[in-house]
Amino acid sequence: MKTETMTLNMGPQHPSTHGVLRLVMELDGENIVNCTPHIGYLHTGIEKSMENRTYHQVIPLTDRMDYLSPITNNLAYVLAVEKLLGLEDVPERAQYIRVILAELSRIASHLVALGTHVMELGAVTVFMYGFREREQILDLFETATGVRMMTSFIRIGGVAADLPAEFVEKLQDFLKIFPSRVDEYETLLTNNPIWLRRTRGVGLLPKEVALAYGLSGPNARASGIDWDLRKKEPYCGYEKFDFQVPLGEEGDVYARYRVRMAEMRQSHRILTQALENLPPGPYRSSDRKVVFPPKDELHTGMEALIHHFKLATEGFSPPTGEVYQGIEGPRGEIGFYLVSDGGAKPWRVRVRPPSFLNVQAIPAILNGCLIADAIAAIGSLDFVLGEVDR
Amino acid sequence: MPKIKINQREIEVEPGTTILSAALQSGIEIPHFCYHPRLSIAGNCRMCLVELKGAPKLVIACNTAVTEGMEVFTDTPKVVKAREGVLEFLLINHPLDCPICDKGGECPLQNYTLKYGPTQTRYEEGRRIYSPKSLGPKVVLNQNRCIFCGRCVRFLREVAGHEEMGMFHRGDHVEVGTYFEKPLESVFAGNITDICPVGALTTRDFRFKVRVWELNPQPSTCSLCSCGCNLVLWTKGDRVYRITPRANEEVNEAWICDRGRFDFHFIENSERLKTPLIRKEGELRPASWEEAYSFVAEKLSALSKSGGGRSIGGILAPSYSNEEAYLFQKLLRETLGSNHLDSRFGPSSMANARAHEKDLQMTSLSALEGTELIVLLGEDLTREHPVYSLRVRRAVRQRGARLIVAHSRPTDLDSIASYVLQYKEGDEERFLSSWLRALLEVMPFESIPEGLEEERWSALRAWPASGAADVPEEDLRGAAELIVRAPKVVWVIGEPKGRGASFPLSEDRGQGSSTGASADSRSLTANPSFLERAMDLVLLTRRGQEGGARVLLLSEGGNSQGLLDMGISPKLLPGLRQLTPDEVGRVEEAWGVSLPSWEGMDGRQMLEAARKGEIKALYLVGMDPVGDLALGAEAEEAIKGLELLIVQGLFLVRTARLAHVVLPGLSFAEKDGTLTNATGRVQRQRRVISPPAGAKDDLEILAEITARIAPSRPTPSSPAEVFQEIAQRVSLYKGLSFEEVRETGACR
Amino acid sequence: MVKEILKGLALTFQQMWKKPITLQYPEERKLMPARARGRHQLQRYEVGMERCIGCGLCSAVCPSNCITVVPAENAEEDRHSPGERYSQIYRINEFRCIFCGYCQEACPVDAIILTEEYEFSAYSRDEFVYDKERLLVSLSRQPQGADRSPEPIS
Repeated sequence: MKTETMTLNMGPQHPSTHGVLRLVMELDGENIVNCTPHIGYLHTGIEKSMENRTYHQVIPLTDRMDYLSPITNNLAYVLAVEKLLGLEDVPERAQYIRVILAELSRIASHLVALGTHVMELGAVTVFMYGFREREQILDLFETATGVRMMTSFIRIGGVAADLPAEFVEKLQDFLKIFPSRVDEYETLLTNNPIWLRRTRGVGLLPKEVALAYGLSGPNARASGIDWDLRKKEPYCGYEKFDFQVPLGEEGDVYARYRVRMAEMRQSHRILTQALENLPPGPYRSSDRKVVFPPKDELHTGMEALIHHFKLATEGFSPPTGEVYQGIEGPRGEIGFYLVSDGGAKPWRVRVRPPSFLNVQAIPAILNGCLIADAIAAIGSLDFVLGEVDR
Repeated sequence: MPKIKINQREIEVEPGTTILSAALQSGIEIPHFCYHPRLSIAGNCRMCLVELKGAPKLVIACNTAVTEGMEVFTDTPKVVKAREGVLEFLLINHPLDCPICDKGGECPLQNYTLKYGPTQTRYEEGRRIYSPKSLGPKVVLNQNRCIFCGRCVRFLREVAGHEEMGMFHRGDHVEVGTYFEKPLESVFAGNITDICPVGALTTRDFRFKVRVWELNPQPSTCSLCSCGCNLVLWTKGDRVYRITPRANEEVNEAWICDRGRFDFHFIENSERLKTPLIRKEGELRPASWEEAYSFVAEKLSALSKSGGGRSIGGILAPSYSNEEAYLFQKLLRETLGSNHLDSRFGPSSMANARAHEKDLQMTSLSALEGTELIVLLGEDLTREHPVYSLRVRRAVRQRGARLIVAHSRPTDLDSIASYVLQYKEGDEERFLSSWLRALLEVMPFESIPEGLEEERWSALRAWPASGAADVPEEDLRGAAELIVRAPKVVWVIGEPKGRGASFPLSEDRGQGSSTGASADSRSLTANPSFLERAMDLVLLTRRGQEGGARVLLLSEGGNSQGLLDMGISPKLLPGLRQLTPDEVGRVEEAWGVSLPSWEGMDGRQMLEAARKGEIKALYLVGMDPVGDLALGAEAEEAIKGLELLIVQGLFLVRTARLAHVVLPGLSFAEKDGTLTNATGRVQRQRRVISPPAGAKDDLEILAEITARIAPSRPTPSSPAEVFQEIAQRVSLYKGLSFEEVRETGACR
Repeated sequence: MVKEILKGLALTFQQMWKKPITLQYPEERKLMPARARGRHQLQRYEVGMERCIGCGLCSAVCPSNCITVVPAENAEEDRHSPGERYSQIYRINEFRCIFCGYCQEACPVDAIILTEEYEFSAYSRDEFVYDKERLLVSLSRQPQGADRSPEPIS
């Protein structure tokens, strides 16, 4: 009998594509024989826009790439600029604040990944629970930075402001309840036979394939690749924290789920340590050539006023050169490659977005699997299209 | 040439060069405030301290000449610390004004502080505060911001020659200001705001208008006088906010006059014409461009058919571009068959053509620097061509040239002249003849001097030996002797003006120069033969073909030379070729067109002919004869008899009110084109803002009218296309292209 | 298998006894933190004079170019702010604004602050372009204290 494959468009408007991703799937009955992701629907020209902004003005743009963990983007960019400047004088308190916010956004991001993924497979409860805790984290962000999502809080040389007192209290409250909340999610899922059936052995991503696609973060670790930049190339003083890098073996959807759950618990560990050891001191660098001077000095010191004026209008000019700085984001390695021509605006900014590489792996995990499993597999890769297209 | 090392980098410079200029030449930055490459060295700011190998103390780079093998370091810890110290001291008294200071964003003090300065103040005492001092209407002084580098004082003294500012008191009590707190009068006063390294001197015109970083600087060329200064127009949106000089060694170096700097606000005048007007039932009514074009085209073709070219005349103001001028003469000559073409209401002169023909024209201002003698004849340079006066002053003050000023009124340069020959106004003829006699006495000729035509020679000899024009005989003789003895002479000749050539700041350039009104009245009463006779004097004293005489002929209007080049003259064809039947024949053959070969009328004659009814149509571009004081009544009467009066320009001037059709054109900032300055340098004028809706590019208007009257012939309409045709047809402009005339212009 | 599902259902059932976390907006409103970055407001001094001096640093530092400042010179008889300069036009296009708070950080005189107001709605797009009149804190109302120094975020 002569059979034909059928081509099916999934997206760009499809709730489980996590944004506007279009997948062109070739189906042989229920089986996917070929899948081509089409990206670019969310292209915003962020990288190009960065070339026309001062180094300081770029920070709010980074928020808008991976809008589920803007702090991580801020941080990766800022660390890259600090590397370009050779700025080493970043106070310890600032580093701790950065770690706290980065880990909080990792949890928030994982909660979204978990919630939406599970919801796509039909379980709304976990989504609601997850967003309940995420709301708490966004509240924390709002207390510290003034907004819930587009924080623009990490600054070159430190952070925009010190943590307010109420933030510490709220964070303590959150840390107290959070482990039990993770238990709740696990109660609903980890041994749930329906969940197990939907996820185990689905969307297989063997170690070699994951390596070949350059995957990082939870996706790579679920395939047994022991790679975490917080351990391998520590930044912001991560080497001072005691935590583990959870690893999986199977490389299926379930393993990725387990790794994320474990990572949330590890982030909780880091947060607890960070809050305990949060050192006193300034929250931003004393290098006035790149950091705004304190505002009260503007009314007394000409030097401060001039530096403030020039930094606000023109920004600083780092030396000519190029740097790459990657950090461990919730979705994997988020990195910024900056080229400076010695001017006040970056000559080129190139982002290494983890989501882009995650999207690349879609054909690898979908080919041969059932169409009904596609949703489970895609959701487990956890990508944000804003970051893919930039 | 000494070889030195700056920061281990080996460079070779001219002997006598200072370390600072050696560094600047090789692109090494040494911060400085008081040093300015075009001013004398003061050495008072101490900002340019550098370390010399082997020297116990730091030295200032601006006033230390290089010596063979010198090793200079600009970034050793010692130098860095010294610079920080200098800046810290400067900032002690500097007010916390950056947020309200117009210099903010382009301020050397800010830039150096960011780059080299300390980041925190250690000073807790009060700041030095001066009471406000006024410098007059143009420049605002804020002494609190001053760092007392003295650039302004030195500029006015050394470059402008108007010693109006000085430093008073000493030490911490030092003050800067004008003598006796008089308002600044120099026409170059605006330049001190450019060179002030802080916000102490800013222009009132630009005060609190906009931030500099919001502006878009765009290059262009000034069309106010035939100096052709290079400008930067600072625009934001469709508005020009300020004008500053653009450096060009061949023209204005780095300076412009205050007229060029401040007279541009007519562009944004709300009374600009925004729609064509056609007279219907005795009244000017708004009309569409289509109506206006067909009205003009129909009327002009009907008139040229019925009355021939002789019934049509055209006058174009000398602020218009070469392209516009070329198309204008093309419309008049080729399409309508008329030679009644001029750029003013005065007599036309062949002086420029003669100067060109005899290869006497000065084509580079550097000729002024190497000359022994400069003769200013009938030209008040500082008022009429201000930037050229800076060159003359320098040639005299620094290069040892002698200067003779012959003018009917005292001029600014009298004080440095060896001879001032002040004749009575209107007495130019008598003055020239008495001077000629003095010259002939000093230098008797046996035969016709080389280079002088026989007829001119006899005309010269026949000059009446009338009275001495109130100029002392010994001065005439002395000046004549100077001319005869000097191996190289530069003549700068202007036309005598009928009334005071005022130079007011507030005069609206749009009403004034763009319409050419004031320019015309001055030329009106000019002695018809003055320029030509002056040229005779030049030729007489030239002494041989290779003789050292050069002539700079200055007329009013930014593109007067360009207009002559384009043939906007009743007696000249494009390329400064004399309009004779033979020449017309040659041109007709070369261009494949037919041209009228009769000699046309100049502007004044055209008015007269219009009054008599001989001329039935006049096309005035940028002209306002009725609005002119000296010409008004006469012009009004003449115009009444016209069958067709077309007025093209920016405003509804008095002449336009009488017109049959009014066409709204554009200002200098709204159109592209080229201008030719007095030395024959072709430079670009640029469209930097978009014009008001409804007005049209003058070139487009001319092209459209031409195309409608003669639809069979192709008419170029873009500036580049027109320029291409000019370059093909006009020998003077051969080899030039619109693209080549980029930043600093090209010599024709 | 049944055991696992019952365990999950028990957890869901427990939630029924807990207080709901839903906020009944608009009847109930969240308390905004002091650092909240909402609609802009131009501040005055206690005497009623405008703080803004029209320096344009806010517009220079703005990453989305949404602020227009046109300065002018204070006349003695018509004084808007202390000193020589004031802002003749101060306009923010709240549609373009990304509420990063850079303007507040850059302002050398603490003239512009971001308030807690986040409820933006209007009947036309034009209403989102706020002119100086709407941005300036009103003289009579003086909310949040006109002399209050803005929450130091920088």
